[in-house]
Amino acid sequence: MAKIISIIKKEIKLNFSSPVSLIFFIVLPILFTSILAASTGDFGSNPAVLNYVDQSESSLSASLLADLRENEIFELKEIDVETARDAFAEGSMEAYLLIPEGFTRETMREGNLAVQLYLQPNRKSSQSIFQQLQLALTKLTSVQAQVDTILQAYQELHPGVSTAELDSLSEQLIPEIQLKVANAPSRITEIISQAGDDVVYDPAISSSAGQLITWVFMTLIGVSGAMAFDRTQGTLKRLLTTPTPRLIYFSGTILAYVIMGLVQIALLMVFGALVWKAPWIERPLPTFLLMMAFSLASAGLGAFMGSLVRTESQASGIGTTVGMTFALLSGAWFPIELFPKIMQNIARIFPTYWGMQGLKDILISNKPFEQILPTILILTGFAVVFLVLGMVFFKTE
Amino acid sequence: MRKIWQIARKDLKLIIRDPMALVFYLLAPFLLTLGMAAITGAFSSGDTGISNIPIVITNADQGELGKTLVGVFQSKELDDLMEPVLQEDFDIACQMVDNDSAVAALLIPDGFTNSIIPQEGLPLSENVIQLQLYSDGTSTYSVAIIQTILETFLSKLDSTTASMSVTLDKFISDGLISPEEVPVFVDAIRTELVNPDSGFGYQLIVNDIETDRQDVSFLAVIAPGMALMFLMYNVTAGGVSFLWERRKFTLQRNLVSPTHSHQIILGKSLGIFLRGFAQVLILVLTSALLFGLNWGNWLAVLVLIAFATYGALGWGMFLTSFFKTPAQVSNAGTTIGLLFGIMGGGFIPIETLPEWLKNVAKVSPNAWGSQGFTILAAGGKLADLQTILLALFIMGTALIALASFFFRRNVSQARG
Repeated sequence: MAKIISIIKKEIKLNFSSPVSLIFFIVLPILFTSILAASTGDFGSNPAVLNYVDQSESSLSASLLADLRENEIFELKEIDVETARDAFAEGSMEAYLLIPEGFTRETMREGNLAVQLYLQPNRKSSQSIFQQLQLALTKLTSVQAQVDTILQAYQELHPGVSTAELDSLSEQLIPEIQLKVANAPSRITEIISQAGDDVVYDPAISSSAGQLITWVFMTLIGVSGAMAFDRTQGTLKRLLTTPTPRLIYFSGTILAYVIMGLVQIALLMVFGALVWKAPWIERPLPTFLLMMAFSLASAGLGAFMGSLVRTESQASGIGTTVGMTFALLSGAWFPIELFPKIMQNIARIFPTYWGMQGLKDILISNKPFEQILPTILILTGFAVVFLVLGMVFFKTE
Repeated sequence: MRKIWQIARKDLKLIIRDPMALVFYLLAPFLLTLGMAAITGAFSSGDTGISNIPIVITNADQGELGKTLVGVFQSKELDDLMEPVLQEDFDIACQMVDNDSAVAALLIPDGFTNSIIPQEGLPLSENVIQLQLYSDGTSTYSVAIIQTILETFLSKLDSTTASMSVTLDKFISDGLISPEEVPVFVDAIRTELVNPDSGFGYQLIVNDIETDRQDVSFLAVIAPGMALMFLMYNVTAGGVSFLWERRKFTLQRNLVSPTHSHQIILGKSLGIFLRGFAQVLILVLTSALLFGLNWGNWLAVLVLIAFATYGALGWGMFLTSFFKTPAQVSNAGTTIGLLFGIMGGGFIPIETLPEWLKNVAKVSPNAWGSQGFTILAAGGKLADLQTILLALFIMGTALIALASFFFRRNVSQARG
């Protein structure tokens, strides 16, 4: 045991011998988590803005804008047309809506109603803005169509009624109908898995989980570099001439990185909980078991890679590439649901995928322990396979 | 000028002779494009992002609205987008969500129709019967799409019920129709009102093109940011070679030849600039030719790549001159490259950044470059890039000037 502890101490000392390692260990992960939390979550992110130019200033455009103001996706801001065009052209404005002069009930009845939406290309918010506008226009046109249908039926029952009377009726009815629609009760209730009422989904939590998985994984596969370093420097050979079995060296090195990984996880979680109020430490037992299994699996992969590479420099290059690639493909950077189905299935071969899934199940879905256990077991399986492979292919020179 | 070009050519030759370097600098962007295309689905189904969203529907409603809503999810219009499965037991449907077999389960409860449309011989239910949408909270984009579909359906229902009740109240209170006429009147309008396709048409013109769907290519969202992030790595790594030459005394040997120090600095800079330019160009060309990504006006794209590379070169040279060892430059380059990458759209869509961070990001060539690529993809021309090109030029020049100051010190040390 004393030998294992000595090896652990040596690895930790070596790893932190340069202050630069702290940049990758804690500074960058915190910066990345903070940027993502500020960008995607409720911690000060700015909602999308839809600027609008109302050239029509009709009752119909007022109804459309009133409906759009109710949405939670974007804020509505009035702007003049020249400013909108200039800002959009120079790229400083994401989107604006132009309601042209002919936006009236008459043009709607003629089937010529049109609005112009200007969206910067390649923006994820474009889809949401488009859908909200489509929804508002659908509501607007269906109320008018329904009133027209009703008045037509009324005219058939009472043929003597004049067009002017019908128009007057329409003008009186539509605002009342729109008010009633606006005050209509919600007809949909959303239930998020086992999450209680006090648990609110925050995309920042998902982003933070992704960052944690990425950076901790990069630390853990650093085992490969440590093993290559010991080999190339001759440290391993010298060590093996002492009465130290290979297994002791192997276990000590792996454990050193698992400890560093767990410390990194703890630091990031405490930071997230204190600064960003993320629910990181509310379910310590499943979180600890999951992270332990993830750390062992990742360090195991690092050990396996360490037996394949020749130099520390190779290990470093391959480690960074593997770390970033696995994290990217596992949905740590972008939601995996955006990937094609085949890529979602391929991602299951990466331990980072299961780490992400487990964290989401704990933090977002708040799933009970028995539903998280299979993920922990899968990660443990990864750990066993990689550690055995690492031991089998272990090289001393 | 000939010496500057010879030094640049020597650096380029060194890369071509080193297979690993060639892969990193030139093939990496190509492979990166393929990787991005794979995760964004650009290899299949027209790169439309989310499709075939699995949803389990339990229709416990006996009325027509339940069937109509199921029909909406099974309609041809949503054929590519939704993959609905019917399940009689809502508990099993929820389990399917828990097991990741579906992203959401929808319950249309018994009495849903009757709570909205009065049935013959039955009073209108006083309780609001709500649809229940069950998800595990992780597939937010897919669930948002399902919610939009439901909201569209429900908003039509709300407007229908509001139209009927407001009109009947008014007609009866104003004596426009008699109570005896109400059933005849309701029958006359009922079928038309519950028709989900009722409503006047409208044109939603997006960027001067009429459309009924707004798809955002995920590849297009991340490609410019990724290209610029890799550019930062490239120029930093190029700077590292400067320090290696000093360590291996190539720099000192050059200095004893009739070559001025500024010729060496310019030659090295030109070499780094050319390979950075080539790297971004390869990514842009690959994504355009293989996946039809629209980068915009080609002349303007080339000019923008050149200026972005110049801005990045400034940072690369500055870091190289500021730090002493290749390891220090490499670590600092990776750190700054990653930070500029996240602020320049390399990892997350740039528009999601808070305003203060967008302002901070302006110290990076990534943010200016991303903004430029957006303008060009929107149909902008070279003239629209004036501010961006000026900013990148000032950035590059200022940083290279600073780098020269530190370099001169280093070169003097090398001579010594």
